[in-house]
Amino acid sequence: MSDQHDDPANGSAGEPDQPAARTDGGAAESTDTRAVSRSSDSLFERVFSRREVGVFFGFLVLFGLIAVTRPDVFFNWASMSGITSRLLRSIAPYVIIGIGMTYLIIGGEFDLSVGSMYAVGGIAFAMFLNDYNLTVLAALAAVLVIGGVVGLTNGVIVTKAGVPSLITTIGMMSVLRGVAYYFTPAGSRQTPDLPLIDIFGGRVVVAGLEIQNQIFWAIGLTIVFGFLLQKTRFGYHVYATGDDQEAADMAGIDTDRVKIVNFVLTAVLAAFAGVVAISYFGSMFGSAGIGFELLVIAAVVIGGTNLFGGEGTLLGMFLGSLVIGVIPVLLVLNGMPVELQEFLTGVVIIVAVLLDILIRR
Amino acid sequence: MSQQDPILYTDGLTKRFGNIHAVEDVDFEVREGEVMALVGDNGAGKSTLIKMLCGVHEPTSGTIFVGGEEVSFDDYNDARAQGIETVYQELALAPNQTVAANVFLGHEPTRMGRLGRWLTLVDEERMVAEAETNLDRVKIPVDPEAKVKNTSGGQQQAVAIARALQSNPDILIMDEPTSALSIEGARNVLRVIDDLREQGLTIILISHNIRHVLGIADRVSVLAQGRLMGVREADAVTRNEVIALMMGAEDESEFEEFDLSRTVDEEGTTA
Repeated sequence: MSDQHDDPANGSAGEPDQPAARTDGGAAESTDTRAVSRSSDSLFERVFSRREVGVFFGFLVLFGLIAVTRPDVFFNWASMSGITSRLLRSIAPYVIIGIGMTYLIIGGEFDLSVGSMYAVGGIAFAMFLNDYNLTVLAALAAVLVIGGVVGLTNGVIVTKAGVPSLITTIGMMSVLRGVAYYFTPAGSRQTPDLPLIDIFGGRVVVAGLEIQNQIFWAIGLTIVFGFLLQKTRFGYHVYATGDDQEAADMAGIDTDRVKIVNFVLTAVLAAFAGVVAISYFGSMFGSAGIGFELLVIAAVVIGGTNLFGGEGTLLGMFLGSLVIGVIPVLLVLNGMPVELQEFLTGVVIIVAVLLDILIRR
Repeated sequence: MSQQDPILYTDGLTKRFGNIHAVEDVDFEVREGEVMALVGDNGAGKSTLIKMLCGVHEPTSGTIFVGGEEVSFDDYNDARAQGIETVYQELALAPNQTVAANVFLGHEPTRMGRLGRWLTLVDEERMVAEAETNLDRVKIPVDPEAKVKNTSGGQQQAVAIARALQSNPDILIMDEPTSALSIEGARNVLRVIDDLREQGLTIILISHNIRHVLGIADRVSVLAQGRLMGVREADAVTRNEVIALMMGAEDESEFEEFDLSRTVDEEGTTA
């Protein structure tokens, strides 16, 4: 680990004393006049050292592959607008859920129950509207409360009982899937035709490009929660918790509370993503959202969030979602079976994490 | 002269873990404004004693007095409230966060009023500026905006000290501050300790590096097998005498039988 074992002052082997030469040299007795080396990299260097830039270029390359492999489609706005619109719609749930997942992973945990929560959220929304005649906003509120209770349960079990999040949330994944199936005896649930639902499921058309409201929600929530993560004290505590929980604890940060809040946020957003999805499609199957947890985690990790906590951004997660979303588009356009998506997503996750570990070494 | 007043002392302080007597009937005393070194072999009870003083362990029996008042600590926040701060050996830093964020970890300065407990905006400019001020006090140059993992061991020690100074403690406990450092890094940290003493801080320095200890401390308390073997003025004691006490010898003659050179090598006191 350390490369300074030859140092006689190293009584016990401790932490690596890495770039010691930078400031530790020189006369010790006199007052230090050596300048602190500031991060004086040029703007260019700073921009291109950012992980988000790399992910963005990765996305551009994949997107550009459409132009290379299918120029007939790419340079035809009538088809390309449809493809773009579909891409944006497909990533909306990944992004909305990915916001919470990014918080969770930065804070050192993760949640595998989000796909099931998504299904329960959408199905419960339809039930509240149809069977209980709630208004749209009341139904939404009720769904978010369900999400909150699920997230609180996950969080308390993980932090207070000490059950690893892998076990807790895989259990919750199954529990919620069971609930989703139980309440869809006919296979799926439909939302009634209510104008207010269009807040989530509607669309606008700009220059022939159809944009679904869900992508606006996804972008808006990303901006709001990105701001909170970067600028608030809670955001600082999320990073510190995942970076070194013991250090955060000793500094007086209630790390259990930070994690519980993150679990709640994630489940609430997953439930909200279900509401948005059923509002758009008009119906939802009990099997909706299967596999979302991996797609979302893939988007988060591709976007540069450290799988072991302490680092990451929502911008990266958003760009990672674009990468995840453009893969099936490429496959379909090139006549390859869309089932390959799962295969490729798996490969992308493993390669992304592997690269991440190698780069950090 | 306040130099002679004990700012902290313990009366019969004892800590047992089952049958293990980690600290046994220790009357430890620190005077205001001095650097008191606490030395001892591995397992001598240094860490256990310190952990009682900073609120991590509850004593089995015995009493701690701070400023003449009896105190008891449930956790390090209690000790902090009594003006005792600790810089742990493992430093407890968040490596991927900035130096400034680490100096203020858990106590980030905020802008605007509280919009809610969690919706407080961190005042980054003030945090960086104040971190710089704090780091100036430590006099080891560190870029407050650098990530901690990109700084040297000595700089990380400086960050941990700057954070401890944040709460304006009266007593600073430093657990092996030089053990993981290069020679230059260690020298800088020792200089910092000297500066802090000049600024009136009382310092308890835990170290097994006797050369460092005798160079900086005013007095030395020696622990062996959980007991306080003796307290010596640092400028009136030899290294061998301290080592003899560490080995549990009643007087130095008993110690002649030990292979001194080997011990000294292991302790890293020969350079």
